[in-house]
Amino acid sequence: MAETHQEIVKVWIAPGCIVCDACEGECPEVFDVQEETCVIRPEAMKAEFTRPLTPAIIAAAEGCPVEVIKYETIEVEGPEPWAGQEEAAAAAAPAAGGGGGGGAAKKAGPVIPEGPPDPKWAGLLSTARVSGSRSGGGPAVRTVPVAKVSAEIIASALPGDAPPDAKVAAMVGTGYIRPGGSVAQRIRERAGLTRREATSVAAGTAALLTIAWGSVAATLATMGGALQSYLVPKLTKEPPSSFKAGKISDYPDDGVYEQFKGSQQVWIVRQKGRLFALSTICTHLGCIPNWMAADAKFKCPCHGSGFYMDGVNFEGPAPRPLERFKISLEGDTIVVDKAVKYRAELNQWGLPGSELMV
Amino acid sequence: MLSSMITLAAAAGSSNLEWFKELVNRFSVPEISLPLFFLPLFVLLLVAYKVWTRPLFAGTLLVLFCVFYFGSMAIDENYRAIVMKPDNVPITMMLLGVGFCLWWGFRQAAINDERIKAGQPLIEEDKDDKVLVWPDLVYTELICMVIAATVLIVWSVLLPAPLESPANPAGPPNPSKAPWYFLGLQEMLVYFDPWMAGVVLPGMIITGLIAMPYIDTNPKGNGYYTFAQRKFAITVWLFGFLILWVVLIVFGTFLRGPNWNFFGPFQYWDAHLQVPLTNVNLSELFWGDLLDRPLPANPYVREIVGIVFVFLWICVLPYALARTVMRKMYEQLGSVRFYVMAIHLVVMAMLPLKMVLRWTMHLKYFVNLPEINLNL
Repeated sequence: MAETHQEIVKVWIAPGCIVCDACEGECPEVFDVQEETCVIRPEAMKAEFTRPLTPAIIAAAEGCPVEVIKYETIEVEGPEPWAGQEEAAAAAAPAAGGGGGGGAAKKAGPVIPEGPPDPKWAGLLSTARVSGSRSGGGPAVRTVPVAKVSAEIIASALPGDAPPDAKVAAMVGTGYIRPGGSVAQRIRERAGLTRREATSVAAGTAALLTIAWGSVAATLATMGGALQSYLVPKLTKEPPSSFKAGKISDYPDDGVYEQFKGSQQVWIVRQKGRLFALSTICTHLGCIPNWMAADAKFKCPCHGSGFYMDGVNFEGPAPRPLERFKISLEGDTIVVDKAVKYRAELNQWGLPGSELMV
Repeated sequence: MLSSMITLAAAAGSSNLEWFKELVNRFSVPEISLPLFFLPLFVLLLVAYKVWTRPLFAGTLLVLFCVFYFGSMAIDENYRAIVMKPDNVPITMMLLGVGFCLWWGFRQAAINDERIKAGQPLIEEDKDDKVLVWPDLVYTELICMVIAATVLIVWSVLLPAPLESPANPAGPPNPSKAPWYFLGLQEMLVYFDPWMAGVVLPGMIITGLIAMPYIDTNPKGNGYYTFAQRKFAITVWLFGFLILWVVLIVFGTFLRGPNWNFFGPFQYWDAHLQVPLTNVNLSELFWGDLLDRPLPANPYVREIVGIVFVFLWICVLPYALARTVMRKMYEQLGSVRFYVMAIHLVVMAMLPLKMVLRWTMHLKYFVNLPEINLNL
């Protein structure tokens, strides 16, 4: 069976190009990266043009990060015509790359092979030219003399230990690495500004940045202040914990007196010669029970806890009796202090202050 | 119009159906209805799933349910007031929705289980239910969005939001009911301390749901409906969801009245109904009834029985299960997975246990240590 190989007869770009310049770096004869997308150069629409460039197109398609480069191949008899070139390039690459390491470190930079251009390097050089022409779109854009970039310029621009790989060389070609000139200068060149203009733009940018960061700082400071006054309020409403509950004569009979239920959350209970102040908060989940006089019990509407008139729990889920508040006499006025609590399960009922003998 | 028709029907029907209402009222108290109705129903649902999911059978069940559920509105005004309260409309929707989803899942499972037994391909293998995002999914979502918005707008116009007067600490509503979706939690709170029923148990529901995909290493049932291959998992899940959540929501909606007492669905909500509910702690049962001695003064000695019981239940029972009835599962899952599962399981089982003990023995708490705010 005769030897065959594949040659590309048609190449196109599917939607989704991210304009990354990678394909143009690999094969500038075919791909033209424009501002918004990448297109196939008109001359590359022909099969005769693309067939010899098959390896470069395949390299571009494989190098495309979004894989939008598509191509169609035919089978051609005979060995690959470019096979020798590839091997030559492969042989040249390590030789050139040796500049960075070992005893050869004294070299100024990687050696760019001269003579008939390796397809890769030829591509890179034309990339530089293409890139230069592309940036000539706007009226104010200064023409960048990259068209004259030669192998020597590239070599001198590259860092000493840079491998002569396509990416670095492409950066040289597209102006990212250039002999001489600071970064700022290159930016100015790109934007087509003079030094004076650039200075004023920089001043304007600095002013805008100051305003922006100032606004952020002011906003944060305001929020911090708000948070601070929220955490440390200047005014706190703390109603006095104790209140006057009338005289003993206001509670003549045994029973539950509800006049302070709404305002103070306290029941005053008189039972068997004792007067005490019960909290209206259910000891189960904090609902407010109702006093059911006919049944002589407090009954919670939330989960059905029940308490006897003395506050002791007897039904439902409440785990402990209602709490008592401190009750005392000032002259003949009853004073209830809600800051002091007496809990039955801690054996605090019966302590002085938990009840008044009447 | 609708309500006047119902009232007319009520006048016609109320006279001779008193025996029926009385029967339902007596039967609906949870200590009777849960063991004699809901649990047998749950068992039937699982055992006879190939029978009741047949479309004709299921349709008949739906008709019967609707006749009882909606027809009862005509014969009793108390029940009608509950069902027609705007707050409770979601309950009706929930019951029908849960019923439909149960039927759908078990129907698919019944067909699949028959096919597996006969060696035929599953339903899911016959059809390719992949759809394109555009336009299929986006259009479906758009249509659903429009329908949902329409339903919400019409609903909010027809049924006014049940707003009440400003909160008054001196007179809370009686009964004070949580939103309908929390009624299951509120029912749990009747049997437990708020720390347990409000924090620990809901927390373990959530950790259990989180742990489920890590515990469950069984690949069966992935991507297809089946019951025969996943009996334990589906039974435990449905017990928790149907009995311990949906049924408790139904109890909270239809049966809990003033003072959180139980009322039949056709019973008048009398705020002064006398219900003997006095309950006692395990310590009082042990020291008082069993040993006939006064309660020890030291609270930890007093509660020792409850502490030992809870320790046995939570710590020793999973170990015992791993050594006996669940030995095979323990070997399949490995110790970490098994104990995570088993602890969630025994904690979940504490709820029905506590409910049964409350109804039968008037048990309040296993451990009652208000001294340190620990009640179980």
